[in-house]
Amino acid sequence: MSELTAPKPEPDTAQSSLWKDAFRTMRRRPDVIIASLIMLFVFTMAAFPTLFTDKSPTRCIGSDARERPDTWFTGEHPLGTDQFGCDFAATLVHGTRPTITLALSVMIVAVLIGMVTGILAGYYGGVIDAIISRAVDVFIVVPLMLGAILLLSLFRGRGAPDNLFETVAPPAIALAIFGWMEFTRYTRAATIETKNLDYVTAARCLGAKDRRIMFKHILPNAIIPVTAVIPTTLGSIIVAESALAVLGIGVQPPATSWGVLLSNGTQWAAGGYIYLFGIPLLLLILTVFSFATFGDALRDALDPKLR
Amino acid sequence: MGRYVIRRLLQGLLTLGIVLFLLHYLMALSVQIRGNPAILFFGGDRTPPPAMLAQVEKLYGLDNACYDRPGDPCLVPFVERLQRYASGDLGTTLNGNRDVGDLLAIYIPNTLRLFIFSTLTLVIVAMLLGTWAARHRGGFIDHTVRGTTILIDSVPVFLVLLAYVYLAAVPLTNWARDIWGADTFMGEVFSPSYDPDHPWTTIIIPGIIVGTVGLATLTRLVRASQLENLGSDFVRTAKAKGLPNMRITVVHVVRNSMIPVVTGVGYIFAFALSGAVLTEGIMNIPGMGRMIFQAVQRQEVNLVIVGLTVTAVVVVIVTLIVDLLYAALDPRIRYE
Amino acid sequence: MAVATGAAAALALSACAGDESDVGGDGEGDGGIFNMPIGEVRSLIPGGAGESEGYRVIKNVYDGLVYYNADTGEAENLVAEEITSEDNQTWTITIKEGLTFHNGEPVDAEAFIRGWNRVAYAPNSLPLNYFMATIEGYGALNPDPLPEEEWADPDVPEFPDDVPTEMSGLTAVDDHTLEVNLTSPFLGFPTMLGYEAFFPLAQECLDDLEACEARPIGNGPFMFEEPYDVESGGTAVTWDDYQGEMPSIGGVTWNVYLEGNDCWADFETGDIDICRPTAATYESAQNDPELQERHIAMPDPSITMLGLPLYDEKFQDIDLRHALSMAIDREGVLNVIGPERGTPLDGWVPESILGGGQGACGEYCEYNPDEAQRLFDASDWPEGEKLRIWVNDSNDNVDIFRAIGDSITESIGLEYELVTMEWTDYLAEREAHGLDGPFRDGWGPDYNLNENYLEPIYGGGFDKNDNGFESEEYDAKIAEATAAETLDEAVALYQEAEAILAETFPSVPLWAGKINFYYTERVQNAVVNPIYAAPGGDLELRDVELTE
Repeated sequence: MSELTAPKPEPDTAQSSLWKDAFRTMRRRPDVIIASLIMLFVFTMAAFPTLFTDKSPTRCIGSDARERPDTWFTGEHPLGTDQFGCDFAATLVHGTRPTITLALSVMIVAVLIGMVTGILAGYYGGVIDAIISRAVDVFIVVPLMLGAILLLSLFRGRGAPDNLFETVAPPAIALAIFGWMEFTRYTRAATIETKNLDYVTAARCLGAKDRRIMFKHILPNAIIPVTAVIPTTLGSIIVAESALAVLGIGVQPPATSWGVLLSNGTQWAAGGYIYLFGIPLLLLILTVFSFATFGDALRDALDPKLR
Repeated sequence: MGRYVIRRLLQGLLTLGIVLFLLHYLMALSVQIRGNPAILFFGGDRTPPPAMLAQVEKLYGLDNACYDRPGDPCLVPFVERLQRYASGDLGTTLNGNRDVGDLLAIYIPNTLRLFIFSTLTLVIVAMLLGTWAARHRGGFIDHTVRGTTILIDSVPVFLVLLAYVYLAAVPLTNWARDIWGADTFMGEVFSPSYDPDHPWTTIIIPGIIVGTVGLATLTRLVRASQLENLGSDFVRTAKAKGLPNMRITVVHVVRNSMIPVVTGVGYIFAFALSGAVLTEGIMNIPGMGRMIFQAVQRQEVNLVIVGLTVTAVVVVIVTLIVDLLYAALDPRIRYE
Repeated sequence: MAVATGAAAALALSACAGDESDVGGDGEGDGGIFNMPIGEVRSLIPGGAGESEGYRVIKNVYDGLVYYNADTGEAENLVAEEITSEDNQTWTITIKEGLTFHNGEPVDAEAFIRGWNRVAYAPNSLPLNYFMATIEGYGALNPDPLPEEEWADPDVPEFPDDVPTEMSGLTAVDDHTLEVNLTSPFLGFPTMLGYEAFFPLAQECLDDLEACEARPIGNGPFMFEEPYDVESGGTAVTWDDYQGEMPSIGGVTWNVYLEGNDCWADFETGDIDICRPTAATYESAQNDPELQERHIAMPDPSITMLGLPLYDEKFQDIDLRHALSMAIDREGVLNVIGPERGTPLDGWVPESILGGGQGACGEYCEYNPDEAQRLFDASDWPEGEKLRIWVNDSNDNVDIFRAIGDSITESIGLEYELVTMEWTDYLAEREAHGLDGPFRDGWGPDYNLNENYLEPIYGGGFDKNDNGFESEEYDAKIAEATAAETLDEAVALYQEAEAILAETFPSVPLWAGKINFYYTERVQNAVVNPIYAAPGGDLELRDVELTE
């Protein structure tokens, strides 16, 4: 980012041209376009499930359980029924919202914690840096899954969640607590790099306040590496959620998420009901794959060194 | 260098200390909130007489009054615990009264075996693919390698394992046994679950599957560092000297691009530990991951703390080694 | 397994009848190694397990005084020559002569006294401690703790130092005669003697419990040559010097499957000889004609119920309780959790149990959404209030009760909410009448009598049982039955008690389980004990044969 070292720079224009460049590069890649379309599809499903199905996912008739989707996409049950006799298509579509909400909220919380701690640590250094770095170390040595398992099992609430928030909150909190360190590291590194640049030093000499420097000059730089990993992180949160569900401590049934569907589906797949496992698996892989592809392209676009 | 090592060691120790305390505090909180795990000793299906319960509580060091006060950090039991650990006594489990040290002696080798296979898979595949992609930079192969590794990384490893166990393992095993017989390597290798009589053979497949975690990341690292090396002066010199291509690739490029591989593997290690929980659970491997998960579920306070501490120690040590290796491998890096 | 104390009247009548004699074992124990699945074993020393997995090992490594016949469930003499009593209070047990432990120690009266005292001694804290409660002198070994002001730590009760270690009710009249004094007459005493709590203990075992835990010193047909490991299992081979009927197989290997794992895949590859399919694989197993010939299907007397909180205001109306029961499509729910996993119940005691299958629940256990809707509409259920169904979160309880909730919602439009709790919390809350809605209630029998489904679950009055069921008439009928002279009379009186229960409807009977085990081609003469079979796949090792 050598263009940023100009003595009297216009960081905003430099920044915006970087973003514009990135956007332009990405727009030309077919894989990115496909990935974006899949992401759009998934987000629409999460936001407007009724566009995709008119069945209720909570109306389940035991005697209709596990009807195979012989008619495929048409008829009474377009994707058959699940093990409880609920319409599988409805379950799948309505399970998208908790999954996506969880992934987004974990990501937002983790990024916020990570950026604040990272900028503080990188900018002030000294004791604050030591404390924050130690905290990062402490959380890193407890692997994400183990930490989440520990929290979720120890403080498992009783009672069924009533709304989306209660459904998603416990796994989201657990994953966020053990997921912010990466962002702290990136932000801290970017902050240290930026704060010694001439224009920041100049701004400080001119009497700019700490807060102004952090927001105006450092944040725009620090946000680049963070943005680059966000899509990939979203994908890995979705995967982590499904892992927690398989362990029985993620989103709690009867609320559904992709993880819950997968965890139920695996056992029935062995009994010959492969669609109960295969369809959610396909959806999950497609989604995670598009996040990863998008993230990969974004990283390349934002960090020319790696291209 | 010496001072750097000492500083890193001290930092590691401090981190471990904090981790230990946090774990202790979490477990104390959970006992305070969720109630007494000593009841488990009685099998959980009936309420033991208070006198007996008290005795068991005492036996497992849960009798301190602080366990009745939510929020109390229970410092006295913490210090006692540390002293016991320091004297080499890791305590026993609530259910079954087994020595935790003995349990670790069973579990750790299994997890290590899993890691050996997964690390080997990861490094070999990533090196091959990364090298291949770097040599065909920007071409079809490069894109394919990248896409494939991302795809592989997108499939949650435990789902691959589940699919393998539920769908593939039985037919494969029966097929292999029809040809080679039951008690052969081939007859065992596809087994749907871990078999303590064949601790190496039955861990190969899960190891390979776990080895795909982080494949995309590592492949990208290998590719990037090889590209850097390919364009470097010493490779150009070697080419100018007329050295064969193969030799240049192996001696100059691959060797020098080992550095990011080493660091990459180190960082992926912590992820692999997470993966171990599910893998060991699915394949019925008695290893650390499964142990910790079950211990948490059953409120085996002592086992959880010891188990997570062991993983924390391992992560700290691995990180340390990686950083030191990095310094040793790359003379350009200096430490203040 | 739950508590077996209380009066199992008259079961003793049959206990003295049979005598296991040593006729015609057809192999000398070279029949190969049987591979069996097992869960987590708590202990392998008698009295220390108290769960199905430890018991299935212990009952083969040890010989008790009696053995439970797999066909009838009755206790037949094994080590005992004779068990007699004049007054049902003082029991005289004669032990067969010439029997030894694996290490050569004699199996005599002392060996039993040694084992029983160890179980009864409070400071040992053994799970089956309460089995000894009927024996005289038990109280002295289980004293009240010292008064609270004498404790060093206010939270830790302390025992007097001088707790005796031997029960006064046990006397060795001679080497092979054991006299047992009970605190009160108890007809069912001999039937308890096949339980691990009453197995003999070798002195060598008592001297080094740790070694004995790993490598039990038993007196049964199977012995461990290598230590058993809780994680990886172990192999027991037939004991060459066994005096009783020699098993046909050469030994057994127990392969451990902990929670979340099951044996089915290993069964399909032939690594395990007997296994229960998972709910999901059952259907494919059943459709496999080859497997069909190697299938054991029999009623499992374990039952599942939806307990109703009679202590809660909302559930006072019996019409509401009937409505809930009739709203549940039991067949449909069973279809969800796996075909053939249970048979719908129409009473509180399953058919496979002595005195069961009375259909006491009648029309109220039949699926009838219209009638349920009518009754529900007439009841004063608070408008808009959800039905909270409480379950403990182990196994597939959550799935099962979700299906039940779905069925209720579908039938009468009452929305439900599942409250899942961890097992120990759940038990405590349930006992304390803290659940404000229907709850999961399961029961597995301790012995083959309808009493075991009535007294332990609903007896004792409002505070003692989980449902808050209180009926003087019921308690009086139970007492009358307990005092009955003959078994038939007792059974009939207990049936009357069941009918009284039906009038109050303290719980909704759902279904009784079904045992569905499959075994491999090499297994012959597969016999399953319906009452004491372990859930994951179990059969009588003393009877099974293997062909190679």
